[in-house]
Amino acid sequence: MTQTRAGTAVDTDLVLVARGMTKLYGGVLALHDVDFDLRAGEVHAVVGENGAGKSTLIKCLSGGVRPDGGTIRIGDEEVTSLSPTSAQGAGVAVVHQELSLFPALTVAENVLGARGTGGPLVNWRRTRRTAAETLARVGLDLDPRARLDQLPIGQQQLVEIARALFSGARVIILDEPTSSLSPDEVELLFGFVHELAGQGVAFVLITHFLEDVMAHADRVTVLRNGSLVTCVERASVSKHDLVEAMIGDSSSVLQATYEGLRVTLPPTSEEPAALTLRGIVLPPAVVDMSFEVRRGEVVGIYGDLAAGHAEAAEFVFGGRKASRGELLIDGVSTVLTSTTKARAHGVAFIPADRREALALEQPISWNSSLAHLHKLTGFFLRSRHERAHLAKWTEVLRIRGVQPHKTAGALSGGNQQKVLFARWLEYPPKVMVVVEPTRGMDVGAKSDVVRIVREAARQGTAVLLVSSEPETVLTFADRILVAHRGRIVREFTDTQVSKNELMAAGHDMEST
Amino acid sequence: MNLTRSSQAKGSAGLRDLAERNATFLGPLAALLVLVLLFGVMAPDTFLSSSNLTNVLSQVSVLAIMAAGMTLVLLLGHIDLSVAAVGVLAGVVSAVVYSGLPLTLPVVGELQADPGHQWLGIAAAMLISVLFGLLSGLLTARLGIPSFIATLGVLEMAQGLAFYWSQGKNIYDVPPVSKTLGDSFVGPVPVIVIVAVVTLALGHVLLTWTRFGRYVYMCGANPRAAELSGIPIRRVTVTVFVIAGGLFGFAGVIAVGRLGSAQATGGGDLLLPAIAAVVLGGTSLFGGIGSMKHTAVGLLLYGVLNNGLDQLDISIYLKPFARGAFLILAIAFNIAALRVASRARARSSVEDTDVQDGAAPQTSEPLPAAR
Repeated sequence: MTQTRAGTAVDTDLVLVARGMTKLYGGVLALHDVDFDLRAGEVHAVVGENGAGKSTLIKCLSGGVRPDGGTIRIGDEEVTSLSPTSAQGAGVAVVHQELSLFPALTVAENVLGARGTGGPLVNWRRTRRTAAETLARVGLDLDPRARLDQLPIGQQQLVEIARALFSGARVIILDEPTSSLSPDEVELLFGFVHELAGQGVAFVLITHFLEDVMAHADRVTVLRNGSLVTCVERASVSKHDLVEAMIGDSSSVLQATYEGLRVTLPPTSEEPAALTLRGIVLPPAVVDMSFEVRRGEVVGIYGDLAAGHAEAAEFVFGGRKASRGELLIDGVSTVLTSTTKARAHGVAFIPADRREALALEQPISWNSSLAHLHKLTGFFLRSRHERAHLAKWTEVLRIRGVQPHKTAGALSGGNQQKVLFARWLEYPPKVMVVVEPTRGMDVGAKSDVVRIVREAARQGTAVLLVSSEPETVLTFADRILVAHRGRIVREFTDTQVSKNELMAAGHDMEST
Repeated sequence: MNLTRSSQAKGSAGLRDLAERNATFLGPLAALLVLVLLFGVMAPDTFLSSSNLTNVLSQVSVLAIMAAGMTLVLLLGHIDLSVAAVGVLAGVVSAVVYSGLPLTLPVVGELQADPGHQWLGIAAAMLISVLFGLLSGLLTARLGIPSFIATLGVLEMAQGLAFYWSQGKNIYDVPPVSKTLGDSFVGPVPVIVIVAVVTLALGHVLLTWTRFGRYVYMCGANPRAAELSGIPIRRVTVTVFVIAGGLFGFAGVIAVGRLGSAQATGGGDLLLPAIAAVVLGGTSLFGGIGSMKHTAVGLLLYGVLNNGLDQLDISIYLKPFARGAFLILAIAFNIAALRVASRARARSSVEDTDVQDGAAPQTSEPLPAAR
């Protein structure tokens, strides 16, 4: 591996140089003394696991957060921190996964953005002409008069890049640009990126897809636990090298803990299947998925954001319609047209975003009883039963901070998650779907949630766990499935599996 | 966590906490007291007389029945603009059927009863209002048309039918039951006031004591959370619109008795008051916050304001201006109260010490092994 530690040579081509970037969040080092530089006309990928510091780094570079240490030089100017406005002024633009465009406006208006053509009135002809020129300059063949939301998502993304260029950007940070794109759109995007790079625009590519990195990046910076691991020419490394750099050298003492997270999965359960999916197709995310979850078993599906497993989870709870395929509950073919129907068939659901599932302004007890109120009470509420229910689960699940009158919004994230479990566990479901159950939690709350899920499975519930964090899947699951681009590509059962192997499988390459 | 200690030991702080949590209710109540005092001082002989206070109550009673329905709709985060039109239509239908005039329907042709069947008239009136409620509910819940637009269409339809069936004329033959409910007394108390109080009380029971009421609050507060709990949101929505439609129609039937005649032009001036009274009481336009208690206070606020302005020596042409100005003042007051209430809630969250979502970066340390 040839290492070119950033900035050792004086390079006049450098458009951006960050030195010693450091950021603390509440005493935790999210970024520790990281150097990063960017040459004109290159595509520079930044890779690392969740929590490695990728997003903190780009936030420092684009003015999203103020670094606690280090300097940033853009062009000839050196600063210690940027504001979003000064970053934009310096020519740095971020294209996020969620596009910040105006869907109901035309391509032309979106390209020109708030600046328009100047002056208080909209000069439509000039708006269109300027937009057409900008689009032509970057080689995009789009009708400036088309409404943005009539374009496929991939082209909308290109419009956002065009807008960044129009506003004077010379450095464009692409944050997970391919996660919602089809393979054709991915090709289109990178064709466009290389074309612009040829004109001198510099790209920072943040992505989970190592194949995209291998195919399209010029250099790769690897971060781990907030620190710089290496910065290398892409041509000099293999995908395997990158995965190893992301996870860490297994001989090091520190990384022994990581390798320690090598779990032995039991043989597949002999119980009958509680949930079966056969050839499910949910365009565009799920191409073809078949799997089953047996009674009392925790099946974890690991995959990145575009793997389609999150969509499959929603489908099991009646939130999506499959264009093809069959769903069986307890061996009986079932069509779940609504979440109400899914609940009636004994399916429970705990989404990744807890706040989405809670009425934050309403009392805790109203939230915790919502899914089983129809069983707990009759036409008239029985507040005594509700209070007893909450008291019991407060105790069993160790929910902290419960008070009468207190609203769900006043609880911390971990305790909100426990309220959601209380919502479903009063009457144990046949199938429980949990998505990213421990995201953003502290260690104590995490181990509580693990205990809760394992206990539910012990009582006979079939648990389908969906996550993009390998640790989560390894900690919870009896059996692990790996999803990649809408399919299940690998199954781990009755074997030993490490995080390393799991991640390798998730990037659809041979296990290390 | 010792619950008894925390609620006892606080004393005055606990009381203040209680007041702040209930600010959305206490705010409008305070406004009502201020207003009563104001008019009491400015027009002590006329405003505070017992006959006038009875008057205030009976003046808002028809409005109260409509506002009860509107409260359900607003709690769900929707709005029903057809409130007055459906009421007027119901009044017209009850009088048309009772007087033996024809109801022309498409396909079916003309329906005409012998004169004098008052229960038939009232049943027809209730049926049509419930059907319009069902229509609003289905348009909103099934087709996803914003309720503001859907019920605007229903408003026009109901208004049109009221004109068509009454042929634009006043009908003076109104069902005796309507007259009993709308224009008679039990001792010193107008029956219409009793009807209004009973309606609000039943609405209160529905909202706070039943599972359906809980669903209304939760669907209004966060529809997505309700959906993720398997609550049949669409059925709840349709049911709310149907109940509201029935209440609007019931109010219309009583209004006919109170006025002594049915006419298609009668109801336009009740649309905004029906919404204003609910919002004045502190019920949120965005769903999930409010109650029938709030609406009762809002109705009194509206009634006192309207009546009190009558007692003052100001130009009749200035009255709407004064009423509008006060409405704005009262709503501004409610918004301030809402802020106090949510600040009180935010304070209680400080007690939590473990990591809030997004407050700290995700750590990628391995989890403790569970098995």
